[in-house]
Amino acid sequence: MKFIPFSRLLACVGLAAPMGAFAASLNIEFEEYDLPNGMHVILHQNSDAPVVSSYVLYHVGSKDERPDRTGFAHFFEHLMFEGSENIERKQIDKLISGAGGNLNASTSFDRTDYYINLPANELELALWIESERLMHAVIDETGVETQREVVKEERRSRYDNQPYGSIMENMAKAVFNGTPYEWTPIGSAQYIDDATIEEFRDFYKKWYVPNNAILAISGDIDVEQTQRLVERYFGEIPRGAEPERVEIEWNLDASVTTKVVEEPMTPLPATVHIWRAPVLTDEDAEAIDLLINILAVGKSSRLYRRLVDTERAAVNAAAFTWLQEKAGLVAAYAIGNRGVSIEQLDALVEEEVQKLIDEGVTSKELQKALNQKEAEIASSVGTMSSRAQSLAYYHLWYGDAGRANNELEAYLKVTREDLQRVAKKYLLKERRNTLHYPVPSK
Amino acid sequence: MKTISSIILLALPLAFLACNSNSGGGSDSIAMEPLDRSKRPDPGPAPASSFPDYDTITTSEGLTLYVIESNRQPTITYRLMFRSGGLFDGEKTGLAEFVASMLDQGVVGKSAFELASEIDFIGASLSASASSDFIAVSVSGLSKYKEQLLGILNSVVRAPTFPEEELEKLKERTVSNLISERSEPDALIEKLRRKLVYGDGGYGAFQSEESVASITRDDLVAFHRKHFIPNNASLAIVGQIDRDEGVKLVENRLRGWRKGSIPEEPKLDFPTISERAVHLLDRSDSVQSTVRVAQQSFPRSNQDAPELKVVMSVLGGGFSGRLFQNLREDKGYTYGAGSYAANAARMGAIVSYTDVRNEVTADAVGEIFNELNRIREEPIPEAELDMHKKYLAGNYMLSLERPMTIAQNVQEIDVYGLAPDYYQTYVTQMMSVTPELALELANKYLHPSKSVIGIVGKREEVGESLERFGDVTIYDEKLETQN
Repeated sequence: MKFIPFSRLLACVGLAAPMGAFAASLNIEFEEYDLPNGMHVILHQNSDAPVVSSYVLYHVGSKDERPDRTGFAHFFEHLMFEGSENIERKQIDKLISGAGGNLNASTSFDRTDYYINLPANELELALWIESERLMHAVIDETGVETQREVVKEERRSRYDNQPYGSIMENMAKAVFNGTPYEWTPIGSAQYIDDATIEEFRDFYKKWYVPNNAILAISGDIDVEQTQRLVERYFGEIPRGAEPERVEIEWNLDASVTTKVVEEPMTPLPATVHIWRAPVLTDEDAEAIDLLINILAVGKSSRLYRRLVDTERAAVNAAAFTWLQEKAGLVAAYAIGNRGVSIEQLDALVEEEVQKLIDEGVTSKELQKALNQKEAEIASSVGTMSSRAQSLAYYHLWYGDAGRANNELEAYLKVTREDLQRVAKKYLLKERRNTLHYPVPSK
Repeated sequence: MKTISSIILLALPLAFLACNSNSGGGSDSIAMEPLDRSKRPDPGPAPASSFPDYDTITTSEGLTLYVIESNRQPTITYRLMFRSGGLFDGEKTGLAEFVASMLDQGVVGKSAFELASEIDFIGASLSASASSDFIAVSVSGLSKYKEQLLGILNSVVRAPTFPEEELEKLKERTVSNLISERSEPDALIEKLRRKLVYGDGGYGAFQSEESVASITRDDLVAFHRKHFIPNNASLAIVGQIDRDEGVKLVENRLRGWRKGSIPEEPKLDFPTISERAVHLLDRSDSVQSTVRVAQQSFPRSNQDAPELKVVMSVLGGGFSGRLFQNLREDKGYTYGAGSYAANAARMGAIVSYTDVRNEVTADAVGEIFNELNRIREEPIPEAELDMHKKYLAGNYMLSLERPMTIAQNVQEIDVYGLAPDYYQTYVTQMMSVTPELALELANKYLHPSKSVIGIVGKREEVGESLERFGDVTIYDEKLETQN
């Protein structure tokens, strides 16, 4: 039996690296270049199966929204399925279905992505649809009206109707306070209702420009011919103005809060400890990631061992990071067994974190975390879709798609001293925010 | 010492993905012409595709072994499936799940923590779960540890010790999970749906504080002894390994695993659903209604299953299914809606689902029935049918990109007793569906008048509006009736 709620809630906005990347033993060969209009293109050829994946990544997410227009980036993702000047309303999904493929999209704090998987002979269909969406999507009242309702239902399904459903929003509010990361991609339905058609069109004009997009294609393709086709479909789209991006001053010094979230549906007591963490590309990022492994990945991890196994206080205990483009957080949580007090959960999590600060980790633990990372990276190279995503991800955030082939190297540099140093730097109690989900008395 | 019945499945060209136009769609030629954006681009020549080759070996112990070699990534997975699951729980609902969860809680010579440390140290992952029809145990990791990984599988499957203390801990966690599930709409609706379609036993049974308390170590040992036998299982090896090496590894590691007698299938009684009725689980804080319309259906091995899949896809498969188009894209009632055939060895179910805001709950249920009736009354237009056939066939081909999917498909043949060539004829069967056949199948298998309506939602706001669909029975979060 699994305990689902937390992990499901936290997994759904695609915040972490898509699938990790590739083990040293496998080399994903690719070609990359910019079109004259600024769109970055990455092509990976592989003929193991007759499939092709197209992946388009726009560098825009919820942190790029105005505080009084939250939820815009995600709403826009929905509108992009409506149609274009040459594709009739509601035909995009049918075109892909009828070609034997599938498609979807997602929005996070920092980016919006669109993927299409197809039999390899339908590559051009994906290029046509994605270029139409970028060139002249149709944004009209009909589409906006329906999707307003749909997005409200999405919010209810994922968050408002679920136990602990407010956890993401509360975490972001606590730790990212004062930055545009303080709201989450689902945003507020109210603001979507307030927005006018012109505002949606302005958003499109600003962010959906080729110089803000990466197109990654992987699968059974002819690279030269694909280059010609990409030029044919995307080459004529004019470059847009360079979008102005929000500046965020991110540092660890911030006031901290403790919030008690009283919700009628909370089934078991839960506590979440949250700290500010560095941005994704910071040199401490890998050390923090390994520290989280030691704390929380597997049944031999420290939190599981102590809270679930030895003390029998929690039904589940874990930790994770959200390292973003311009901010970051690290969190540890425990969901108590019936009758366990939140104070006891707090004390146990606190002790385990303090031990990392005071004593560091053993060399065996570091080796374990590296081995876990190696396996995680190795199991992420299976599909063409995951390869396209990885290449685009590393290009966008590290300016180096090739990092997909040597991600493990950055981890191998981490020492035990680094782990204790980052524990001291980031996980101090005085830097900690706390969320409590008590069980309501009936 | 072993009988080898190596089955090599033959190539099956995906001719149904052929291009729509006579031009052939050669991309080199079009590159010369100016781009006409108003037209969907022609596809190139359809790729040949096939259900991939794999080897089937039966060991002298009677274990069915599949080796699916793939060098896409440097990993390996061993997936062992026993043809016994929760249907064998007897009076003690949840017993099979407990056995699965206890497999890694101590093995001969190692405590739970020692085993977990060993698994985590090589970055491996172990999962064990039970459904009504089977128990699946799988171990994955880097292929350089292939011997250790199989060693881990071998010890959890053949030498679990089921320590009393770990059983007590698991019981505590399970009770906590039961409490948690009572506040989760998705967990509640699934229990309600099964109870309504299957009754209180077998596929409809679910755990309670009482059933958890009743399970003893002796029960685990007895279940394990009876069902964890090699001739009741199949093992798929997927990843960086070839056939000969796979066979050798298994022969060495699993040597001496003794055969037993195949357990006799338990008798099952299913309720008779004679008329439509509403079953509302009152969740007073719900801001949405979680809706299922469900009916009894055929066992997984029914020969019409691939053809019916096409009908189900038109009704509610993916973004282009009628339920999604109607409830979401047309009406804006929901984020998601669809329908599917729930697989089960003895009796399946046909289920339509959606989550909608409280005030449109009854309207949404009405639309689900409209769609169920429409697909039985009007032939599906040729173009719509054709789209769904291609959707299913194409996505099936795409799914074979993942070697684990191949393993799952092959083991499904084993566990549900499907025809050995099931996946060779699968696509052809789906592609053979005509509007006439679809109409016939819809009438043969879809029975809206014998469907139950299960809803988890706020009674105060939705209860009355549902009376138009039949008698309304109210349940609490323990699924006990309230009226």
